[in-house]
Amino acid sequence: MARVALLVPCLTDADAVSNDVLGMYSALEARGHDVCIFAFFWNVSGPKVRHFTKIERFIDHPSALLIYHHSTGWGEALGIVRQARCRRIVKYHNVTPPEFFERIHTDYVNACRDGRRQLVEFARAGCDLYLFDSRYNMRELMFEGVHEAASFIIPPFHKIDRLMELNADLAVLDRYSDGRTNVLSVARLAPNKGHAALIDAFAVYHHHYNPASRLLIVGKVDERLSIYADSLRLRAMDLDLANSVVFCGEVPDSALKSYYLLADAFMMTSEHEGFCVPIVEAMAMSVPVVAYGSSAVPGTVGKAGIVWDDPDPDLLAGSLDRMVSDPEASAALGKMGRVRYESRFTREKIESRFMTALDHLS
Amino acid sequence: MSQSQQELAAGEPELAVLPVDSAQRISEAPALSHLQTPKKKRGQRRQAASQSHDTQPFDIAGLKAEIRASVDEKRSRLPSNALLARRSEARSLSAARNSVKAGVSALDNNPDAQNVDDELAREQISSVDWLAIDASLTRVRQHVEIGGSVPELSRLKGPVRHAARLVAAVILLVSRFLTNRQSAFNIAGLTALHQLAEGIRRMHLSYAHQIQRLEKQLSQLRKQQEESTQARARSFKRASREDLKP
Repeated sequence: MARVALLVPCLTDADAVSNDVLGMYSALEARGHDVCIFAFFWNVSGPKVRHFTKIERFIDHPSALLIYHHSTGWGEALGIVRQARCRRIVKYHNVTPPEFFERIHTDYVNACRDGRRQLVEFARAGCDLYLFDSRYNMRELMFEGVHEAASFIIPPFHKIDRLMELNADLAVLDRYSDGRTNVLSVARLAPNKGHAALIDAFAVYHHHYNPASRLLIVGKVDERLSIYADSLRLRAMDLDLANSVVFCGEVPDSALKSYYLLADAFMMTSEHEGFCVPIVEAMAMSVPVVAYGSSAVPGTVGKAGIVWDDPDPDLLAGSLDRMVSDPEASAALGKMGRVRYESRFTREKIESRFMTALDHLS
Repeated sequence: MSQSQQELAAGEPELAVLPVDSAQRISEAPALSHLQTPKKKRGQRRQAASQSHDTQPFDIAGLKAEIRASVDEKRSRLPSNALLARRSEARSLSAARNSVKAGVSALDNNPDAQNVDDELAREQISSVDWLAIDASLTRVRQHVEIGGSVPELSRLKGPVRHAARLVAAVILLVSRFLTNRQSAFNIAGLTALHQLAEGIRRMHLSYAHQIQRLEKQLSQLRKQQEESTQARARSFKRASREDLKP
C-alpha cells in the first residue's frame, strides 16, 4: 500500500479532468492505496480532498506517488512537482491555445498562456511517467522532449456507466419528441469548441435538406464567456434558425441522457480537443457521430464515425442528411461506436491500462 | 511505439471492420436494454441495421465517398455560400444605401432596394464591438483596486526584495487615506459601466429579435401584396376580355 496524491487545480462534479481524477481515486483506493486529492478549489463530497498547500507532508517519502493533472496554468503545481522527492507522474489533458480567447477574456488568455509555458517546464522536470489522454497530447509533450519510453496513452476516466444506469428525464423526452430530427452537440460554450461551424453546418442542413430539424446544443455557459454565447445566438438568428437552434445550457445527467436518446445524430466541430469525452458518450449510447477531425478528435472517433478533415458545412450537412435518411448506415455507425466504446473506453479497460502503466513505475 | 505501449495496444486493434459476432453481441447486450427511444424511426433503424449489417462489414470510406459525391452534386445546384453570407450581404447593402445618400442614384435600379432600410437597421445594431468592450472592462476590473496588495517585485531577489516589499507596504499603508477613496470611486464607476454595458447588450439582443420578427412580417406582407396585385391583374384582364366580347 502506498500513499498516492492526486493534484489538480479545481475539482468539480461536471468536467472531464475532475472525472478523470475521481476515476483514478476510486481505482487506486479499491486497490488499498492511501489516496488523497489535493486541490485549490473543490465542490465535491465523498472523496478525501485537502487544500494543495498540505501536500508536502503527505508525499514526503520516496515510496509515495504524486499524480498531477495538467490542463491549465498553475504555477504552484509546477513548484510542487519540481520539489517532490517521491515518484512523480504528470497526466496531460492538453491546454487550449490562448489565441482562442483573445479579445474575449483575459483571465482565460493568461491561464492558457501560463499552461502552455509550463508544459515545457513539466517536460523538462524528468518525471517518472507521463500519461496522456490521446496520441495527439502525447505528440505535443514528446515535441518538448519527453521520452517515448516514459509515455503512456490512457483515456480519461468518465461517468458513462452512471449515465447508462440513470433514468432519463421524461420532461425533456416529451418536449423534443415531436417528430422533428434532433441533431445533438455537447460541449461547453467556449471559443475553441467551434460552435460557429456547427451552426453553419446545421443551417445548410436545415435550409437545404430538412426544415423539420432542430439543433440541440448542450453545454455550460461561463459568465466570463457570455459574449461568445451571445455571438452564437446572433449567428443563429442571422441564419434564420432562432426557432431551430436550442441552447440547452448545463443540464443534469438525467437530462443529458434524454438528449442522447433523442439524438438522430451527434455532431462535433470543435477546433481543439485533448480527447473529447462527449464523443465517447455518444458512441456508448449508439448515436452516430459526425465530426470535424481537428486535434484529438480523429483518434477518439477512430473508424466508428464520419470524420472530415475540414469543417466544410456542406459535407457536414450532407453527412447529417445521410445519417437521417439512411437508417441502415445510421444504425451501423451507432453500433460501430458502441463496439469501439466497449473495446477501448469502458471503465474496466481504462482502469486496466492505468494499472498497467503504473506497474512500469516499479 | 515503445514496448510498453505496444503491450497496452496489443489487445485493442483499430476497428476498421466491424466483426460479425461483436455486432450481434452489441445488439443483444443487456446494457442497451434501457436505450429505448420514444421515436419509432430509431427502432426501425436498428431493425434495418440488424437485417443488413450483421452479416457484412461497414465501409466508412465508401460511405464518405458517396456523401462527398452527393454533396458536390448538390453544391453545384444549390450553393451554401449565399445562405451563409447573409451577414456580409447586409454589409454591402448598407454600403449601397450610404452611397445613395451621398447622391448616387444607382440604387433606384437595385432590386434589393426595398430591403436596404431593414439591413441598415440591422447593421447599425450589429456595429457595436462587444468583444472589445468586454475585453476593456476586464482590463479595467484588474486594476480597479489601488493599493490592495503589495507588489511582488519579482525582479529583486533575497533580502533586497523583502526590504523593498516592506517599504512598499508602508507607502501603501500611509497613502491609504487617498487610495481607499480612489478605489471606491473606481468600483462605483466600473459597476455603473458594467450595468450599462449589460443593459445595452440585452437591448441589442432584444432589438435583433424584434428586427428579425419584423422582417418576417414584412416579407409576409410583401407576399400578400404580391398575391393581391396578381389577383387584381387577373380580374382586370378577365373584365377587359369580357368588355371586348361583341
